Amino acid sequence: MTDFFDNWTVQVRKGLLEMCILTALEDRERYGYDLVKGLVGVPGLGITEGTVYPLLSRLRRHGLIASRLEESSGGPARKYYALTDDGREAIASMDVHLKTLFKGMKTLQRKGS
Amino acid sequence: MAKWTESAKAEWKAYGQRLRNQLNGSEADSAEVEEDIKRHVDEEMHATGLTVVDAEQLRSILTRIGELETPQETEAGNSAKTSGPSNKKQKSETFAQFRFGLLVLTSVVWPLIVLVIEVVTRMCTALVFDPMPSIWHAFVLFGIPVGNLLALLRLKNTSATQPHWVSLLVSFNVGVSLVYTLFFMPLLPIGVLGIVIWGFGLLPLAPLAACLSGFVIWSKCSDRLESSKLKYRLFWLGFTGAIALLLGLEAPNFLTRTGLRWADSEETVTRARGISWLRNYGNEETILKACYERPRRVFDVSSWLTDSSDAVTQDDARKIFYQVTGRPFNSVQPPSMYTREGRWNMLDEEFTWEFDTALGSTSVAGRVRGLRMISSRMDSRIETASALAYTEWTMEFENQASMAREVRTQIKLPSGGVVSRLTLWVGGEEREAAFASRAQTRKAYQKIAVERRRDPVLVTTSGPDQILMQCFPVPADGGKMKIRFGITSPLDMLDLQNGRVRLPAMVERNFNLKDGLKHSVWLESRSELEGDESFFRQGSLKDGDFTLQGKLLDDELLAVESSIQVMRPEAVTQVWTEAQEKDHVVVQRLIEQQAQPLKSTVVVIDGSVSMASCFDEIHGSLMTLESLSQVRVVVASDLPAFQDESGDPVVFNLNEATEQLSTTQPVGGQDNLLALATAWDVAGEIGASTIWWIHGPQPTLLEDMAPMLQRMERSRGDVQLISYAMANGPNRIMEAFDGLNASVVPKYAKLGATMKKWVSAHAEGYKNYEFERSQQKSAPSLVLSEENKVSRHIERLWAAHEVDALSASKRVSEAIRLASKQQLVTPVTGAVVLETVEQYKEMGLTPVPVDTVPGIPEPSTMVLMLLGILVCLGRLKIISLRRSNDLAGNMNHPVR
Repeated sequence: MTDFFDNWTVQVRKGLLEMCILTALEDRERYGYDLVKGLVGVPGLGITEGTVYPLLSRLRRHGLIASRLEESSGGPARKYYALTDDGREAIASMDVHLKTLFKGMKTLQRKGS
Repeated sequence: MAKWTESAKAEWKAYGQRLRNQLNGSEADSAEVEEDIKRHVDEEMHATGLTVVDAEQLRSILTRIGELETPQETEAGNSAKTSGPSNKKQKSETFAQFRFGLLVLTSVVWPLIVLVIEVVTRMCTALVFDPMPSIWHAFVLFGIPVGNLLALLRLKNTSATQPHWVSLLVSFNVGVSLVYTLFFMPLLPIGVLGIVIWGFGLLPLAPLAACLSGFVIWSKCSDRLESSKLKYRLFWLGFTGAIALLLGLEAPNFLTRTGLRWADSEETVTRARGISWLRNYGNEETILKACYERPRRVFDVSSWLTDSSDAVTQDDARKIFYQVTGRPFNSVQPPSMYTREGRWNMLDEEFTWEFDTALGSTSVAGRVRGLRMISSRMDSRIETASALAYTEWTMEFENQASMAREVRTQIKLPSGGVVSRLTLWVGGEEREAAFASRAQTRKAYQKIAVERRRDPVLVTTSGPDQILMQCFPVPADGGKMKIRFGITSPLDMLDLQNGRVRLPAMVERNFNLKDGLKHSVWLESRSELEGDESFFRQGSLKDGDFTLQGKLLDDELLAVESSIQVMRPEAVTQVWTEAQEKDHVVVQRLIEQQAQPLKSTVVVIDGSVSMASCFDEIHGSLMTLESLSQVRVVVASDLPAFQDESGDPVVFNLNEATEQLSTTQPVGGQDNLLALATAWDVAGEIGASTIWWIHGPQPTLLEDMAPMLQRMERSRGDVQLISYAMANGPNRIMEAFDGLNASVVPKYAKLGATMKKWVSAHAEGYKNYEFERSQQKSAPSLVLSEENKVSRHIERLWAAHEVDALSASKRVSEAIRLASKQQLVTPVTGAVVLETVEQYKEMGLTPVPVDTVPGIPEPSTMVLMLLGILVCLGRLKIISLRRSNDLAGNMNHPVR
C-alpha cells in the first residue's frame, strides 16, 4: 500500500510541478535562487533544486516564462523569471482544467456516498 | 564571490558533463541549466559566507541540490526512475559518512590506541625499539591523532574556511607517520601475518594507517586552499619540518652513539677522543641505555644512522659510562626502558632491578626492588688487656617483592679485623657456619642457595679488611631472614695506654634500608670508652663494665667521628690463651718498635670527578710529605696535563704535582690501574717502600688487572700499597688485591692529619706500638701469669696473621687448614651456613661446634660445655623430627 501511495504521489507531483512554478511567478517576478527555495519549501511537493532548473529552461523555451539578468550588489548576478502572456494564459487554462477535474471528483464522491 | 579551488573547478566540470549528458535530448537547454545551477551554487556559497570552495564543499552543495530531473522524466511517469534521486542521495550521504568514519578510525582512533598501549605496556620498546625515547617524541607522536582530529572536525563543517595551519599540521603528521612507517617496515609482514593468525598485528600497522589516512586528510584540506601552489608549498613545509624535527630530536642520540663507538675503539687516540667527545656533547641517558640494551637488537634511529653491526656491548658501555660521568651505571636511576635485562619502574624512589641478574655472584650490583634491612644491632666487647674488640653485627632483612631475593653487601671491617663467627636463624633456631676453603664454601652456597633455594648465608673476603656477605633466599611477600657475624679485630694502639677502634660499616649493598633505620650500637669494656658525643652515650653497669651506646645512621658508621677511643691498663703488655693445639699456648705481646726512617714515597691521586670536592684537601695534605727527600706523584687522569704523548701517566715531583693539582679539575671516571702500575715502577726506581693511593670509589674495573697483580706478586713484599679512600664506595681494584701487599688506612682523621701522623711515625726516634703474637709449646720454662690469661680471640688474630704468611709463601693448603680450624674468614677461606646436617654432609662440610664459637661476653668453658650439650640434644631432636617430616614427603617445604 505504501509503495502504491508513494508511486501515486510522485505521479501527482510531476503533473503539478510546472503549474506550481507558473503559480509562483503569477503575482511577481522572482530570481532563480529565491524561486527554487520557495518551491522546495512547499509541503508535499517533494521538489529538489535540481528538478526546478530544467523545468524553468523548458518553460522558457516554450515561451511561458521570460528571464533577465540583473547584477547584485553583494553576490553573483541574479536571473529573474517572470510570466509571459502565454504563461498567464497557460496558468489560467491549467487552473480551469484542474477545477473541472476536482469538480468531477466531488461529483463522484457524492454519488458514491 | 567565493574562490573556486582547482579541485572544485574539476568537480564542476565533471558535474557539467554529467548534466549535459542527462539533459541531452530533453526540452531543456543544458547550457542554460548548467549556468542556472552554477548561479545557484554561487548564491549558496554567498549565503553561507564561504570565501573558498573546494571539491568537497561543492560536492556537498550539489548533493543538496539533488539529481537532475529531466523534463522527459516528468512525462514518462516511471516510478522506479523517479524514486531514484532520493535513494542515490541517501546512498551518497551514507558513503560519505562511512568514508569520514574510516578516516577517523585510521587517523585518530587507531594511532591513539596504539600509542596508549605503548605508553602503558612499553611493548614495542621491550620487543623491538623505543619509539618514544624522549618526552618530545611522545608529544610529536600524540600530535598525530590530535592534529588529524582537528583537521577532520574542520572538514566536517563544510561551510568552515580552512586555515593554512590545518594543512600544515596534517602535512607534518604525514611526515612523522611516514618516518615511523619506515621504522616499522620490517615488521609490516609480521603485522599482516599477525592480523591473520593472532589478530594483534594492528599495532605495527598503525604508522602506515596514520600515514595513508593523513595523506587523504591532507588532500581534502588542501582542496580548500586558494591555489595548488600554496597547497604543495604548505605540504613540503610541514613534511620537511617533521623530518627536521625528528632528526633534531635524534641529534643528541646520534652524537652520543658516535662518541660511544669512538670510545670503544681499539685505538688509544680514538678512544680518548670518544671519551672527551662524550664528556662534552654526550647524552647521559643514551649512554645509560647502552649499558642495558642488547646491542644487536638496537634499531632506533641513531643506530640506523650509525653502524649497528659495530654496536658497543653492555659491558663496554658500562665502562664508558663510568669514564664519562665518574659514576657507576647502576648508581643512577635506570633509563625509562624495558628490556629483557630488566623492567624499570620510574615511580620507585630508588632505582631497582626487577630481576636480579647478579644472583649468587660475587658482585653486589644494583639495588633490588622490595628488599630492605629492617633491623641492625652491633654488640661489641672490647677486651682491654688483650687490646682487641669482638663485634657481633646482627642484621634482619625483609623482602616485600613477589619473588625471593638475595642479600648482598660489602662490609668494611675494623682495621686488621677477621670474621670469626657466622650465624643464621632458621625457624627461630641459630645455625653456626662451616669454615672451609673459599671455593668449597662458595660451591656449597651456589648449590644449596641458588639452585635449591634453601637457606644459606655466605661470607668471603672482598679485599683487605673487607668482606662480602650474601644470603638467599629472603622469601617473597614479606619474608624475613636474620643473620649475624662476629669480627675479631685488634685495637689500633697510639701508645701502651690508648687505643682506638672503628665499627664495621657497609660500603655497598643491594638492598634499601627501612625508613629511618639506625644501627643500634652497644659497646662494653672493663675500661672507660670514649666516642663522639653526637653519636654515643657513655654509661656503666653494676658489674663495673663501662658502656657506650648509640644509634647511628648508615653513613655515620663510616664517618671519621664514629671511631671509639679505649683506655687500657698500661702495665699489661703480655697476655696469653690456651691454643687449640694440644699443649700449646698463644702469647700476645704489645711491644714498642723504633720507627723505620722513611726517605721516599710515591703518591697516586685518583683524578676522577668523585674527587672534585677533595682536591683542595689533597693539595694541602701533600705538603705534609715535604720532609721526605723524594716524593713522586702520579695522577690517574686522561687529561693532557697528566699524560705524556704515548698516553702514559706523567710522574711529577711534589712541587710540580701541587702546581698541576691547583689548576686542574677532575673529570669523569679515571683508570687508576695504569697510574698504580706506573707508581709501582717508580717506587722501584727511587727505592720507595710505600705507595699512597688517594682515591674515590672505584666501582668499575677499566683495564686488565694482570699487569698490576704481577707487579704486586713479584715484588716480594718490598712495596706496600696504602689505600686511603676520600669518599666511601665500592673499590673493585682493592677487591682484587685481597691477600696481597695492600692495606687500607682506617679513617680516624682527615687525609692531612693521617699523612702527618704517618710521616711522623716514620721519623727517627719515634716509637710505634705493635702486636707480636706467637704460638708456643706450653713448657715448664714458659712462665705465664694466670691473671693475664685472656679469651681465645688472640689466637684467632695470631691465626689470621699466620694464614696471610702461609698464603704469601704459597702454602695455600696449610693456610686453608689453619683458617678452617680456627674458624676464620680469610682470603683463602669462607664461611657458609647451610640449613640441615644433610646439606653439610653432602657438601663435605662440617659446621663448627657451638662450644667453640666466640660470643659476648666470651663464655666460660663450663657454661659452654653445658650449653653445647643442650644444643646438641635439641638439634638431635630437631633432626629426628625433620627426618620424619622428610619421610612424609615434606622435604621441599621447610617451615621457616
